[in-house]
Amino acid sequence: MSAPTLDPPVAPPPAAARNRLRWFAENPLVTVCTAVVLLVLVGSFALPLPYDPEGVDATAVLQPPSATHLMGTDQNGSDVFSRVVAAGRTDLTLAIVATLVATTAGVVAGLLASKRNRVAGAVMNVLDLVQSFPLLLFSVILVSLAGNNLGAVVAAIVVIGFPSITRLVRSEALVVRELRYVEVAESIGVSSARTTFRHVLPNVAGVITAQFGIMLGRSLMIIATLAFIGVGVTAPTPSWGAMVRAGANVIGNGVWWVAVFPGLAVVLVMFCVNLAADGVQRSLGRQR
Amino acid sequence: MSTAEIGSPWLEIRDLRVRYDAADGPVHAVVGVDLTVARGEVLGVVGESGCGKSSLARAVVGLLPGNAAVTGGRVRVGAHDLSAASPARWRELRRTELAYMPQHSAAALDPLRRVGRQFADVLRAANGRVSADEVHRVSSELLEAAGLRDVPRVLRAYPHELSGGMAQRIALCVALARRPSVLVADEPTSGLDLTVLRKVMEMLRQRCRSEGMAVVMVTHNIGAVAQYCNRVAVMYGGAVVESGPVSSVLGDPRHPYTRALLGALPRRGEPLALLPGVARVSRDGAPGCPFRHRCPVGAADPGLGEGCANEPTTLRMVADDHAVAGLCAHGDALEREAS
Amino acid sequence: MTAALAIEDAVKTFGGHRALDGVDLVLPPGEALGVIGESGSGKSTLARAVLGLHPLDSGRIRVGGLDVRTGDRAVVRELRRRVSMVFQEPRESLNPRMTIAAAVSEPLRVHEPGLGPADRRRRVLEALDLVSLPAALAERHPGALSGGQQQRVSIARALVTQPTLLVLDEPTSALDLSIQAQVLTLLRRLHAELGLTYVFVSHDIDAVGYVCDRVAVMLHGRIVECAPTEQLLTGASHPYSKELLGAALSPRPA
Repeated sequence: MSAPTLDPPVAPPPAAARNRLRWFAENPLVTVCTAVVLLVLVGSFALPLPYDPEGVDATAVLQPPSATHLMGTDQNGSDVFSRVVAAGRTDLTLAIVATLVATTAGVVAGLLASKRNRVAGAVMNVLDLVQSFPLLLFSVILVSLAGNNLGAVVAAIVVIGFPSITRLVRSEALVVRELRYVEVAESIGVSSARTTFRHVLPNVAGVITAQFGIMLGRSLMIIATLAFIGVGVTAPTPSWGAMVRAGANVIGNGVWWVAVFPGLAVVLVMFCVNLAADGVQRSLGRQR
Repeated sequence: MSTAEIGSPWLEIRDLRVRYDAADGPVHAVVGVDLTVARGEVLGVVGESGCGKSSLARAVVGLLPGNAAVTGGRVRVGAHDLSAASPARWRELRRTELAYMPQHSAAALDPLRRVGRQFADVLRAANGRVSADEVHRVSSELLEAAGLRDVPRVLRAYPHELSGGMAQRIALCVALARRPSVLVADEPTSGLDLTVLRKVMEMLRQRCRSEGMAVVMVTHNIGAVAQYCNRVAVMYGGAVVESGPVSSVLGDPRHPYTRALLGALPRRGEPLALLPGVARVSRDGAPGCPFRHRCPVGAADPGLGEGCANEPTTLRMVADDHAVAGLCAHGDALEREAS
Repeated sequence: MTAALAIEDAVKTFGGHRALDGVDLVLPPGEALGVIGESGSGKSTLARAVLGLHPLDSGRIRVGGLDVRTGDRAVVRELRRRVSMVFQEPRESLNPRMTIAAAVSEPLRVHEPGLGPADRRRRVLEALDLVSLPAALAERHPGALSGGQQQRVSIARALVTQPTLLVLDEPTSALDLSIQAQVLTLLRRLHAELGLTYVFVSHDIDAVGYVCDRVAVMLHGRIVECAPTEQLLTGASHPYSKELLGAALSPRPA
């Protein structure tokens, strides 16, 4: 019963994997930056530690970089290279875990808040309440009250980070929910939950990816800031922020290596994370 | 500019070429278009999405997007050759002589300025000092002619207080206010109700005659062209495949594409012409009839194929002022098919 | 015989504006009804009201005897299965992240959840074949399709559950002429071969005249005239119908 077809022959669909590869090829900045961040992450776990990062050696205090101590030693005689690498483990793991939790919370809350019901109103009220607090100050107090445990750091980052992700996901989801294919789904009788997962979520995924990157940068910054002012990850556990703080005390005496190497690590990772997130956002903008 | 006589050629487009640099390679959107529009004349440009008609319109007013460029040909308005115009010169011309009405022009109104102020803006940009009374007189006259009721209220309104159809008509009036000698309008009537569309087109045609304006109207509405345009150019694949007086081109179409386009107009009880395949854009700007891949005449007579592939897109006269591109100007293949 | 669609005194108000102001309409099974009118005449509101997407303020709409305005979830589901809608913008009607097969199978997943993957696949391919789309398109995303193909996918999706009534809201208004010709030809074929019952809402009198047996003219939320197509096109009786038909632009030059 089929009428003669008017359609040209159909080429096979491009493989999804190749599509993704092409996206990376078209966005070299994102690719390079993501690679650098991954390299730092893998490196901090895979690189051998020449010395115990928490080890104290009174005979080798504040030695400049040399063949035995690549990045020199600090006031306790600890090897700065070992400490920078070990700090990467703590800081990056903390940041990734916190970002995952914050993003997940933000996405769930944002999707809930994009509906037109009472739950959505409640979510927005909670959000307004949370954001009316001076969050960074609060987190400092909370983390120090909690005895500087790492779980508290994660909690602090989540509380600081998830409201903005929620708002962004909500505003994007509101746009998608107005689109015709969502109305079509409603006309078919697709359930609200299925509509959210099949139609809304995939179409805000790009924004979520970009937000994940931005949030990762913010998390690293918060961790470093907290450590710098002496809460969160505290000595003897190495962290980049605390190391910069320790180095800052002696930098006036010409002892630059204690502060500069962990500082460079923070700057490199932050820079790459932010550039990659920017690149993802710009690529999304081009697609529109 | 001097006021040339009504009917004399005013806007001249010669072998115009436009290329886009798209993400997946170059696209030749306009591949050598020749068109002339006289003062007091409305030229309708028809064709389907992607045929290059909007690119042509934008090239004529020097408003191609950043990834597009004119790669050949000339545009003349009166005695002025615009091919070598600097950006500043283009801006000056658009303030005075050239008016452009983009697609979805309702959105082109400034959302933060009252309608009356927008008239004042264009009038003062074109003529320097213009009194408030003069602005009011010109704008009221245009709005009334466009069939808008309660003109004083409209002049005080912000664009968001108006319906889409009203805003679209106002955008046209704003474009006409400075009395340009050339108006290029991209889909000025899309989305308008028929009764409103008729009013707008009547006003446009009347202004065109009284002001001696040369109007290029890009549209997909064949009916509007048939009833309100003097001449028509049919575009396909970046080229004009047929052009001439409306009565001649629509009444006696010669090019297979023009025939297919008119055959797709629904007429109760008659089967619709269905074209195989899909329209494609030119990637290399090579010569040859752009329609040859879907042409029913070419399919019926394979002997034509090679000729169609080599034929340049230049037009040949088949009747008084009625020109057809390529081999298809020789109607014998078509006549054979018809008999 | 139960009417495919019966509308009684339908009223719908949006913030003081009466979009529907007492609409009565009966559509026997197998009929193709056109609804024409200018913007703001209430024709799109009527289309959405039939689907229950705009609940009425008063009046009643029944589809094959089932009342659209019901609190019963089972009845709502049954209605969603019986009535399908096709919207104006084909591109916007398809989720860009879903393959064609996924889009067309979605109504089956909702209304025939017991169907196995193989049967679902077979039904999807049948629906694509019905609208003359090659099976090879099933794995593509909407972005790879032309506007006409996209609108045919929308129609395939609307037909996959074998509804008793199809509502089309300006289905060809955003399409090029040659693509509109494909869609109109398809509708006529489905009407002739399957006896498909549909309501075709449009401002385009020529398109409506081409695919409909009967035409209703709407003005200010009311149907001012409803007559067999030939009769309306050749001798409309209501002054507004005459005005509307008279304003149509003939593509033949004067």
